[in-house]
Amino acid sequence: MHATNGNGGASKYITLVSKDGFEFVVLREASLCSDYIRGMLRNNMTEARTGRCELQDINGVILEKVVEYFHYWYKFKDREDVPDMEIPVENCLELVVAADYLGMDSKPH
Amino acid sequence: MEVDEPEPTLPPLPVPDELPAFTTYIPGERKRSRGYLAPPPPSPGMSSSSDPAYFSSDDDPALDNYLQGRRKRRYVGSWFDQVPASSDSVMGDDADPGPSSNPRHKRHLKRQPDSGVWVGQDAATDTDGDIDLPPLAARFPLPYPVVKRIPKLGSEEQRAQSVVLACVDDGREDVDLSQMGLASISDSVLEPLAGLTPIPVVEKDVPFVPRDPILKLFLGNNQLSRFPSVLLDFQHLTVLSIRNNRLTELPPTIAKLKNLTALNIANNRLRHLPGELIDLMESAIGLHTLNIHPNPFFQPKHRQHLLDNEVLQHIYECRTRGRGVDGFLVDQDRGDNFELFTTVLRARTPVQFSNSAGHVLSKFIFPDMAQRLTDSSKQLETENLGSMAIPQTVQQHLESSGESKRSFRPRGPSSLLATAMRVAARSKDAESLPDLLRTDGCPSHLADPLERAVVVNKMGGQHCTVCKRETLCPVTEWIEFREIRRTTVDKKKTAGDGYTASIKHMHISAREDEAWVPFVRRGCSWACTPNVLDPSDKSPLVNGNF
Repeated sequence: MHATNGNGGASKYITLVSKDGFEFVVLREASLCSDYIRGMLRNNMTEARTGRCELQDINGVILEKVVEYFHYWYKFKDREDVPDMEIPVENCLELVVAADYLGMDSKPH
Repeated sequence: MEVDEPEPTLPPLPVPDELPAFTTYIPGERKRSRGYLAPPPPSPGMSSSSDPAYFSSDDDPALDNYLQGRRKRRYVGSWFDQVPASSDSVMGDDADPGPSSNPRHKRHLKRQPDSGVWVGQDAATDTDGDIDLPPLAARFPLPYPVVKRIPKLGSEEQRAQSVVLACVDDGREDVDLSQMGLASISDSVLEPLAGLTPIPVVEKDVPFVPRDPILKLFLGNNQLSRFPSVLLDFQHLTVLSIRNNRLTELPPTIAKLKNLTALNIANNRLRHLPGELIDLMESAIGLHTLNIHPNPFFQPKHRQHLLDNEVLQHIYECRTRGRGVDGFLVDQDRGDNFELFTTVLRARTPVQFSNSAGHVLSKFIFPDMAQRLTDSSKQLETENLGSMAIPQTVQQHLESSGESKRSFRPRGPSSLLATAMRVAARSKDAESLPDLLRTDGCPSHLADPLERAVVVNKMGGQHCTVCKRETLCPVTEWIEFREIRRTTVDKKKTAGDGYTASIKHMHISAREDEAWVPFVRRGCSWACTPNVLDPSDKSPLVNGNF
C-alpha cells in the first residue's frame, strides 16, 4: 500500500546507497521497518520519487547487515516462532548505532 | 691427509681474581706446590670432584669421517676445564696466545648438536667480535596476548577465601562467611564451592553411595551491594542467607536455585523483588523459610483490593504468566500434604513503556533507583486492573499492526537495536563497549542502556514475563503488588480419580505495611503487557492449559 501511495506506480523496490558507494536493492515494504526510511519515502521528497536513498553515515558492511535484517523482519513479522538473526560480534556496536540512527527500535510487530 | 678445519676451541679459563695466596692444592698430587705470581696451571683441580673424569672427543665433527683414520683425543677432567691429555690437541691453556702462535681466522660456526662447550661464559671474550651470528629473530613475532589482570583480593576476601578452601578441603557444607566486613566478593572466592564433595554417611550394612552436597552459605552481616552472580550456578545451594547487607536488587535468575529450602534477604536495600521469585516459590519444592522483611519496599499509594474476584485473578495469571493460580495443586512431586508459599495479586502500577534505547514514552516512569527514597517517593501510583494507560505512539503502532488488546503472544522478531545490543552485551569485552559510545561523535544516549544490558547479562540474563523470550533491554515494565501467603494443602482422595483439597492460607507478616510486596515484571515488546481484565468476562479457562 505504502509502496504506491502518492507515488503513482512507483517500483516495488528501492535502492539504498552506503557511504562507500555500495548499492542495495531492497523491497520497499521491508525497508519500512525503519522509521527513518519510512519518513524518507512517505513525504514528497526526492527519495520518494527516485526510490534511491543515500545513507551518508553508514558503510557498506553495516548496511548489508541492516538490509539482511529488513528481509528477516519482513519474512517473520507475522510469525510467533522466530529464529535469531546472526550478528557478528565485531559489527554489533556499529549496528547498535546504525539501528538507533535508522529508528529501528522496539515496535510490536 | 686432509687439513683439519680449525676446531672450535674452548675459551681460555677465567683467571681467578684472587690468586691462591701461597699454595695450591691439587688433588691427585701428593706434594704441595708453591705458586707465587705465575697462575697455577689449569688443572683438573678446578673441578669439584676429586676423581677427574676422562672423556674422549667422541662428539668431534670429524667422527663421521670413516675413511681416514682418526686419533681419538682424550681429555681429563670435566669439560669446562678441559685439559687435553693427548699431545695433538690444538686446545691450549697457553696463558698468552700470541697472534703468531695460534693464528685465528674467521671461523664458520656450524651447529653441533649437544656439544655443550658453547655454553656462554663470562670470560669468553677472545673471538666474540668475529663471530657472525644471524641477527636474532624478533622474540615475539605475534602481538602480546591480552592478559586480563586478575584483581587482587582484599584482606577480607582473602580471609573468606581461606574459609571457603577449608570447607572444600574438609567437605563441610556449612560455609559461614558472615561478619567478615566484605564489601564485595569476587567469583573466584566462591567458585571452589562448586566442587565441594561431602563425606557420605558410612554405616554398617549401608552401601557407600556418594551424595549430592547440601550447600549452606551464610553471607549475613556484610556490606555486599551486589548479589554474587556465581551463586546462580550452584544447583545444590539449599540455604542462602544474605541478611544485613546492602543489596539493591536481586537477579531474576535466582529462580534457577530450585533446591533452596531457606532464603533470607532481610534487612537489605531492596525496593522490589524480581517477579521470577514467584516462580521460585512455586518450583522450589523444599522452600520452607522465606525472610524478606524488613526492606525499604515500594508501597502502593492506595490500598484498595482491586481484585477480590478469584476468577478474575485466575484469568490474569493465565494470560499474563501462562499459569493458573492453583497450578501447584496438580504438582505430583509434592505428595498429598504440603506447604508452600503462594502469592495473590493485589494491585499493579501502570506500565512503563519505553524503547530499547531507554527513552520512556509513558506517563508513568519507574522511580530512579539511584535516588534516595523519601516516604513520598516510596509510594507508587496504582492502576485499575480493568484498564491500562497506553501512550499514543504505542497505541498507534498496536493498531497499525492489528494487535488486539487481548493478545498475549507477541509476534515478529525483536528489533534490530535490541538484537544488536544483546550481541554486544554478550561479547567478550562487553564492559569496555559503553565507554566507547561515550567518546566524541558517538550517540552517548545509547551508553546507559548498553551498560544496563551488560550488567543484566552478567547476572545471568532475564526473560520476558509474558512470552518468556530472553530480553536484555525490556521495553515494558510494571510492578505487581502481591501478598505472600504460606499455604497448607491437604489433599484427600475421593472415590474414583478425583480428590478434595483443603487449602489454608496464612500471611507471612502480620504488619499492615509489609503485607504487599512489590514484584517487578518486564516485557520484551510493547505487546507483552499485563492482561487487562474485563469484569464481565466469565470464561476463565480460555487458555485451556490448566
